Amino acid sequence: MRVLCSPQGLMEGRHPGQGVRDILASGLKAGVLDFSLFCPLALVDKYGWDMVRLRRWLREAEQLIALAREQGLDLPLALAPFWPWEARAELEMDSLLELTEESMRLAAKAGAGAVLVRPAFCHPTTASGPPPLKGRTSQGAEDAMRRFNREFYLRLVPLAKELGLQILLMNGLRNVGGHLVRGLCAEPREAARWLEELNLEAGEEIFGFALDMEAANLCGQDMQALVHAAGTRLQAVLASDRGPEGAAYLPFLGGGHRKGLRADWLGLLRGLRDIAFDGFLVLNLRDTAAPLSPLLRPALLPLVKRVADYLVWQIELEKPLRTYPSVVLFGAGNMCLNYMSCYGEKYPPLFACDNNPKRWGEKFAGLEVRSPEALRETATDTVILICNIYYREIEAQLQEMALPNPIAYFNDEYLPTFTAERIDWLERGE
Amino acid sequence: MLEIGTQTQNVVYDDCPVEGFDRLKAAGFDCVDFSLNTYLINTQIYKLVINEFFRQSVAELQAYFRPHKEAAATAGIRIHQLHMPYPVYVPHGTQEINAFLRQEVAPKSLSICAYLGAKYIVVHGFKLRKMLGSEAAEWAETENFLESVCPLARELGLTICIENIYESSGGCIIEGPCCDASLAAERIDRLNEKYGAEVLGFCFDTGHANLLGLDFARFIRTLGPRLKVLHIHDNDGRGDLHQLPFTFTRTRENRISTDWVGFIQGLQAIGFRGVLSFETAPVLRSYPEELKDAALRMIAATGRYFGGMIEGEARI
Repeated sequence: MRVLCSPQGLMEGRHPGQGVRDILASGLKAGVLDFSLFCPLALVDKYGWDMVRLRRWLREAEQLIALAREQGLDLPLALAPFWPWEARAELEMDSLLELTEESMRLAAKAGAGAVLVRPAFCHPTTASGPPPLKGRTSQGAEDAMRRFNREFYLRLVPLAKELGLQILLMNGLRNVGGHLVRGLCAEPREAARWLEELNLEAGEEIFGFALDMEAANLCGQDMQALVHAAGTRLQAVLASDRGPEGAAYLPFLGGGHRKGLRADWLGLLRGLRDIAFDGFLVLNLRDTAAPLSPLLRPALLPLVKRVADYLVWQIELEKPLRTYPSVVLFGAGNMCLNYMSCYGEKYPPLFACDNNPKRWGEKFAGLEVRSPEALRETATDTVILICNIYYREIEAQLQEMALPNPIAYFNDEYLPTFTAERIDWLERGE
Repeated sequence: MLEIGTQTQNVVYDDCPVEGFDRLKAAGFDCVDFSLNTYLINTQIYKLVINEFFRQSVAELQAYFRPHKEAAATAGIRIHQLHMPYPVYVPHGTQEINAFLRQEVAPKSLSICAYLGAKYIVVHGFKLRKMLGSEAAEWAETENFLESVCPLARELGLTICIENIYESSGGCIIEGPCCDASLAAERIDRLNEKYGAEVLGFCFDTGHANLLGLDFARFIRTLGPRLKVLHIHDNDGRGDLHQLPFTFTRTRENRISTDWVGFIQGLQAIGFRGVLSFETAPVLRSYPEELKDAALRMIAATGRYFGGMIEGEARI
């Protein structure tokens, strides 16, 4: 798995230097070559659909490519330019193809192996859709959309083959009177079918899938189902948290509710674990970074790396467990119960220890509860797995004990199942 | 002409059901969705507070609902569908409570449905994805429950309808059971084949679909003839408000933000000839008493508009 930072909210197309520095300062070594930075809708609105200008704007990406190479920022993934269908109805397919192909050439020049290409023709909004669809039934409109996009994608195949690029489709949205709802490739099975059909036509695995959490979050989608449907063809996840009106926040900083997170992180992490995801994990923090003063932005960047590391750690939660020669759990509470419920059989601990002397000698979740002092009797390579949310406090305690054993963390926020019955410790009077 | 229906909740009251059914008839309704779920409400079930209503025998329950049945017949209203109390399984509930919901509430609900002359009863699938780890594991539990009532449904000639629902988690709305139309269609076909009867069908809830940004037309077309029952209502895409269609907009141009065109086109495509049933009881709570009849007439008129578009030749 490779972690990338999206430049959205961090970088301006015409002045990419500071953005490149900022991404590298976060500790991440790779970013996305996002062509929408160079020809945003606002510019098109101002100057119109002038192909001469559009070509020129697109080529301004060369400055970023050179700068990234110079400073050591990898750009293994590109995002072809995209404008909503309604906004670019006057742009012919040939022109859009030309711009997409140009971005593919630039992506290859930057060393990218894959390029995200949104459909040329977004999902029609039935009666209020674009002119060619007036009077069609929903089925007719959908068929027309599929034909149009199929042709668009297949026409990109020869160049993709020539450049050795993979084309990634993304789950899309459509606009119903300002309400963004599921569009093309948003339904898991539909996305899988599209990939299957396009690859068959292409004669090889040219097409893969990228899960855009911003779009999926807006529609409350089951991320696990989307991940499963794409399976091994899932090449990228654009990870972001959700705001009240649809936005891309740094994961776990989604706004709008005091109780907690808004994105389906549980479904996503379960899904990525299930398929042993090994693609690009792209952090999209556009709406966290953009409102910050450029003077404050550097303070955010270390958190970006920490969040990325945390996501990778959660996806690979089981991986370190496989490597421990033996393990003791520190903490005999609900997290211990959850460990035992999900991993107890596969990776059985020697015992659990707890700071509460009343618990010592007790049998809990099939484990003997012992004093932390009992840790001194374990082999020095036995891993002490902290199974309690007071990680830092316990770690400090273990360090004071000067034990030679490795210390690791367990976490039960995003487990494969939650079948263990939680214990109400207040009710138990503890 | 397609029949128009609405909930009995907030209109038909136990102390004088005839008044409510007359009121619905006068407003232009042909049918009702009998709100059986109001006799054991979800908020109480989640609090593990289970009232005594469903402890009555089937005969006692039939006697309880006889005035409702007679009042509907007198008013010329057909009871088309019921909503079973939900949930029928509470993950944090005791074994006794869950056994009661499954073994008493569910089968008795079916018996009441048949007694009232309705063919369809809507149930909610179990919300167990978080606990069990996947949609497939969650459905297995729902199917297990359905299998416990399917034989009775077949015996009574009823169709149990699963509904697309959502889950609220940390202030976020996420799709819940039965939001994948293809999967739902496969499952319905499999169980119907097993029982050799249409014991299972689908209830498409427009409000829940709107909250989850589902593609109405595609969803309905995928379900095809398995779509038996509707819950028509509207919202702002953020909360499950159960309001009148065409209420909400998001832009200054005031274009409708719910895909009613897709709804009509989907129903046109499958040749839907069921009841256009509204689940808009909260509308009646928000309007003052003096405007309730006008609100009911507006709901019925919306139904007639939908019916005209669905049955009409005109394509929109």
